[in-house]
Amino acid sequence: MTIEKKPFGDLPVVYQGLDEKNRECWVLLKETEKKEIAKENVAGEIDSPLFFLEFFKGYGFDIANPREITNPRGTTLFVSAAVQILEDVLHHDQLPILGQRLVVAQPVLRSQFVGRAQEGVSTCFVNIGSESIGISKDDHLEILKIWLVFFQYLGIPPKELKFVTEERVSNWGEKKVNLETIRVRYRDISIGDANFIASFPTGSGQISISDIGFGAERIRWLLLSKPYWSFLSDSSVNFDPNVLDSWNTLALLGGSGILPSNHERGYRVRKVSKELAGLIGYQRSTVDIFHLAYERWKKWIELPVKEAEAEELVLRELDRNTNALLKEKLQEQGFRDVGIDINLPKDQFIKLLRGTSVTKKVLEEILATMGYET
Amino acid sequence: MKLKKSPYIFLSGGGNAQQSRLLDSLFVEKVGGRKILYLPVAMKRDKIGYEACFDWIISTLTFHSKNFLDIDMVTNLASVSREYLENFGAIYIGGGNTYKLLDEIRKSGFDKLMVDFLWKGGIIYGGSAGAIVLGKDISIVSEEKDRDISPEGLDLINGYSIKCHYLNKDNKVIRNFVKETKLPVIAIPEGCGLTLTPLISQNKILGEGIRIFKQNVESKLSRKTPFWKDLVLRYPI
Repeated sequence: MTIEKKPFGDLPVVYQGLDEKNRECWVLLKETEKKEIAKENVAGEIDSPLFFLEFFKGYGFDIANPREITNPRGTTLFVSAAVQILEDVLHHDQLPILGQRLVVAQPVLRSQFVGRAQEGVSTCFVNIGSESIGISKDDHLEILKIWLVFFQYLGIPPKELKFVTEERVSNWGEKKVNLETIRVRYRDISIGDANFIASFPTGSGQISISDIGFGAERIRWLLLSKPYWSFLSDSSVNFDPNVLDSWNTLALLGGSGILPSNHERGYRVRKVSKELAGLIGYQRSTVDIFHLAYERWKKWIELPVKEAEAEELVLRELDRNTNALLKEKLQEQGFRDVGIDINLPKDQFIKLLRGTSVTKKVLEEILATMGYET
Repeated sequence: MKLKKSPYIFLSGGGNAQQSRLLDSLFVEKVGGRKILYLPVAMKRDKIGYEACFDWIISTLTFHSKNFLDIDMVTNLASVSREYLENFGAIYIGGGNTYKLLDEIRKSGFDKLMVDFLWKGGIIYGGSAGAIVLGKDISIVSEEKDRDISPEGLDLINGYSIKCHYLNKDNKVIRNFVKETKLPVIAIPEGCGLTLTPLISQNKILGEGIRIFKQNVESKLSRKTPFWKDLVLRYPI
């Protein structure tokens, strides 16, 4: 027997049981009101900020500019969720505009996916989100209903969505908050979540936050039934997802002007570059992916560093990390570090190595495995 | 069995990066150029929280190295395979809720991978909750209990249970724990730590105030106490 409950305001849902993490799962009892008619072939348009932003503007939302990926004055070194556009208000005591409904297409970075990309999973992606402060839970659920209309408009029948509810305590910066989350799954894959914080402490007192966000690339992937990475190119199936992910991440970070380093923000650039060096060695034939990614990011966010300059920066760092990798491989073969600077251009680095005690045969064999061509 | 590398366990009593800097520095030195797998899974965190965890580990550890320190963060232990773990020289288990951490380690099967990793010459750093799960019984922090699981820890410290963030006011709770479970306890204040290996000469005590609690015996831990030799890591038979 199904149990009918109303945990989503007046949105009628049917309880489906517990998931593998003992969280309650729900589906819609009936379709949402059809205020919009789903257009044919509209799914591909999700990869355009205008399409998404204009839709919500039609519902009275104000369009917010995305935050720089480097998240100046934010609680984290990089923006990792759309809700962080509110950080100046919530953590730096700017006066909030209560009740304002904002919509944003925010490029984000999630470090746990570096080196772990796969279909549906990338280090950087666009988090499309609606953000409001000082609204009631009912208003929050009303906004969720607008999202359901949006999905219907895209071609996702709301009845095919599954909702997983969870209440938990979470940290945001130094602040601890109670979070009510409705995770949204489509074809059993998470596409985003709706979060409501009833009471968030700010300098202006306790305020509520509505944060509803989804992954643009993941929705596109599920809707189009094309490979996830086809947002970069239809030929993406020919490449390792981590090669695609590394170039995609480096295009965003390089275009944002982050210089590589062993610490802080630059650490991510070096980390991702090192990952890519391990995958492609000295081969640079996949550099086109960097350009495709740069051009795509430019649709979503202002990139302060020009493409050619960003490419130069990224390739120089890639050479450095590939040189370091070659050095490691030689050390594994028993050759001692002769102190050649890994920051040298790759050809110069290798030329200098050839003048050392490193056996020519061993060096050539390793270089061949690393795709080096003279 | 002759091993190329010696297993190492670093136990940190918790605290901030400034407090744990000596232990962290030793850890980074021991890791050398190898990769570190960072596990913030004890934290009840969301999408922003995990990014903050990565910011934290980078700022805490990279400070101690001249070279690039290669750290991977994993938030889903079930996704870690034996093959993937072979890429790493060290595992850093961060603090948070001890019961959540142990639950995730057990459910994912990561406990077996981690024990194998250690005895193959891996380095494990446990900070706070990350240290407590390495002990015999985590009910020493029963106030953190948020789920119904067995409190049996990974028991890598020769039958000792671990109490972190130790203050004198915890003595009563620890004595009751020892009385009820008959298990010995290492109580580590914030800013203090231990490095444990199979060789007594390589083991270290960092900071003042680590105490051992046993039935009818309590003592400050030093190299001269008879319990010191109890803390030598023993290879499984």
